Amino acid sequence: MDFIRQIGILLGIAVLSSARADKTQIDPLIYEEQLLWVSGGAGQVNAYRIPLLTFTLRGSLLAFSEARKMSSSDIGAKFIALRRSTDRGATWSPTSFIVDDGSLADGLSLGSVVVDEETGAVIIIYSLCFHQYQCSPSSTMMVQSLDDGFTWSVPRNLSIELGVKSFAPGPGFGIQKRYPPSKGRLVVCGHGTIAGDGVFCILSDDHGRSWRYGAALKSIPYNQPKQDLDFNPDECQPVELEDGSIVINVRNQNNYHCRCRIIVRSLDGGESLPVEELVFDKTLIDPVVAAGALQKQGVMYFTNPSSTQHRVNLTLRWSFTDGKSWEKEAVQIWAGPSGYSTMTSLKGGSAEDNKYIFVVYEKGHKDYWETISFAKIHLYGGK
Amino acid sequence: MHLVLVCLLLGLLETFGAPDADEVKYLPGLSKQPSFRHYSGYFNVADNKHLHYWFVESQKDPVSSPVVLWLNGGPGCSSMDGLLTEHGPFLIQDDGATLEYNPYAWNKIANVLYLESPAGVGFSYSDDKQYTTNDTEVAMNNYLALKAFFQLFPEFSKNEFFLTGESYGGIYIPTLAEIVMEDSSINLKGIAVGNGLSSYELNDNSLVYFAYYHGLLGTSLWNDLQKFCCKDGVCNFYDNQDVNCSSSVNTVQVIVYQSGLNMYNLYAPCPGGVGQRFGFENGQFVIRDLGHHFINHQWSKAQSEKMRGVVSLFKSTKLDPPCTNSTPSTLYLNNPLVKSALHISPNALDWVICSSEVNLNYNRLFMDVKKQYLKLLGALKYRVLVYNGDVDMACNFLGDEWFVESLQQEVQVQRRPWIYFNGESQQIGGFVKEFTNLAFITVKGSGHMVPTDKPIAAFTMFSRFITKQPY
Repeated sequence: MDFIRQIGILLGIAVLSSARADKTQIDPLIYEEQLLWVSGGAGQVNAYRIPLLTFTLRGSLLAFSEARKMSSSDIGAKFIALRRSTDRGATWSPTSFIVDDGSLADGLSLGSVVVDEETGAVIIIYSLCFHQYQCSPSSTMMVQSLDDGFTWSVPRNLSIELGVKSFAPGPGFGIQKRYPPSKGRLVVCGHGTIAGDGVFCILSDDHGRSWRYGAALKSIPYNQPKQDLDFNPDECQPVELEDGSIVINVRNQNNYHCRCRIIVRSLDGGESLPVEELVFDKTLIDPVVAAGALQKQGVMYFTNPSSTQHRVNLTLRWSFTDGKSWEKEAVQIWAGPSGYSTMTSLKGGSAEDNKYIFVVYEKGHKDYWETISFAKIHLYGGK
Repeated sequence: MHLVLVCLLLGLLETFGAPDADEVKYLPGLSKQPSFRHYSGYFNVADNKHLHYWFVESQKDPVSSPVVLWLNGGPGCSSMDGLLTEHGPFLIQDDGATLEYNPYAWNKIANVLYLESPAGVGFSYSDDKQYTTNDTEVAMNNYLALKAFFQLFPEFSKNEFFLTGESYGGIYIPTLAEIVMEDSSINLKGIAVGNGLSSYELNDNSLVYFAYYHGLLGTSLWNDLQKFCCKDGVCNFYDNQDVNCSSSVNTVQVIVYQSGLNMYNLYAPCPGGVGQRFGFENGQFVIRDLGHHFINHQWSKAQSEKMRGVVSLFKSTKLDPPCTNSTPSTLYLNNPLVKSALHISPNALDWVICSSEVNLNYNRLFMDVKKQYLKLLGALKYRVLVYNGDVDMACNFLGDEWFVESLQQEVQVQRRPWIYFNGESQQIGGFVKEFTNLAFITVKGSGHMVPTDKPIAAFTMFSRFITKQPY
């Protein structure tokens, strides 16, 4: 009996330790890089922007973006574009347009992708009429795929549950809680309109069947026009730590306190974002942009154009302290114009899956919205 | 010295102005003359050929709008049909006298050149009255006509330029593009082909499936076709030597083209009612067959021989596309006031929708245009659109879809529905699959003449094509 228990404990330790990265060896290297979308390319689309990236339960990678039909501006008619890779990013399917908003003046805006690891569903939350330009009210929408991103449901309007407040999810990914509290919950965070801005999270405890608003971190002054240096948390990326807390890495829209990222933590599964849990991370300087964050095997990764002024110099940083401090070395992914970025990794637990993280980001030579690039990053220096 | 200057100035005027003599100043049938300029006249090509054109300037800033050539098919049919019944600025009404403005005219956003080609078609003629021609000669003369156009309208020579056409235009357009692309003085940007004949083989083979799965054939005939024409899942209805297969295909042909169905739109009635493929009207022999289908079967060749025999017995033969009411256009265009307004030559023949002489004496040299498409796509700078009304049986969508697939281009965007606004709501226009510089589009519920059947969808598609917007 005792023997079996000991074996059990040993196994447990083995499992835990294999889930941790060997920190001393972390030495990220851009292993492969390819362009997934070129503005003006596939489908005569004017501009591809706002990339999203996710793993799936079957080990595929799904990359999404806004295909902006007529101009590169945020407002306007768009498709949601998808490319799919079933070989860890080596090759990608042709583009599919999985949602088409027709010719709306203020069309769809991406968005957040979240995988329910209990059902295998891939869920995208996006908004329609977010800017309320020639339309009202805005809608929070959801589409999901139950077959690894191959086919997609018709869009479902979540306004009945969530109301009609403008909510722009992400951009990036949502999370499913893996640790208590509220294990299994889907948490999708985003931001409000510029006046009524702030970080807001929507929660689902039934695998995306129903949604409600959870935590809010409102801007100050709330529902009033902002001025420079006001407190205005905006686009954001949540990650879950192993203690079950959720850390949200937030765009500091009006450069309150610093030209750097706002970090805020929820201790109750996304129900609240207490001010006590808010810090400014002066290491993560930022030109006011949507950035990428990822927690993998006890290491936190962060990507953004590392600059206080311009969207250039896309940089990968990593932290062994859940973001309390960052390693001095950083890897420059692209020196030139670079904008939004997001990351994912595969969770199969194989050596291959543990070795890599994947980044998609807006990349250009003259303007950052020229292309969307996929980079496969070897965490151990390619060795 | 002064004289030289005056001559130079005159020369300049001549070179830089649109041809005043060809401008249509007053067009009968309209309640109000148009706000855009339009011209009708002749391009003189190859010494003795005079090709009639009607050029309608864009309703929106002609200077910056692209120039679009439009060719109807046949071979031997007139592009006036495209102008007056498809996407022209004004459409002929049933009375054969009145024109109504078309809110979905392609010249809303483009300068459109309607050309009657080859000589012998419509008001186009040849001094020697010889109307035997072939695909390569037509392509070359069409090119010469374009050169004449740009000489007459040099102010448009820098504009973006597109070649578009329908039906047998599926042959005309890519073979013409092959020549135009070699001429750097023409700013060719792309081609569009609607319900085009791209490959006789694929058109015939696909038609049999189309007919069966649209409920036209029945199981017993289908079983025979499968039994006699197919092997290991591959069917050859096109030039199968098996007698039983050929006979079954003949039955298909009779059902699709001779039973009274409207081959240009399966779900539309047949104007004039159920009729015969051949007939006699007012002492004329009337043919209602343009001769694209199943040309490789013995019965088809025999029938063609027999028909030519009959044709030789008559003084004149009329070629009427089946289930097509060309009476209003014919009445209108042969009205002396209209002919005078359009500067039609006294040497021109009476206008008919299709010329039997051109059609029957036409040498079809290309059995498919794969080579031409690959050449265009290989240049990496031309946009190609292949669009098909999906209830047409003359050049059915499936054959063109197979043709486009056979080009084996890299897929850019997977097949999907495309959406347009019909004035009330967003609607599915059809389906689109996009390859590098190449799109295949279906127009849902439309027959052969897409702009006639689905004007809003057609205009939306055309607009997205020429302005390089997503479908």
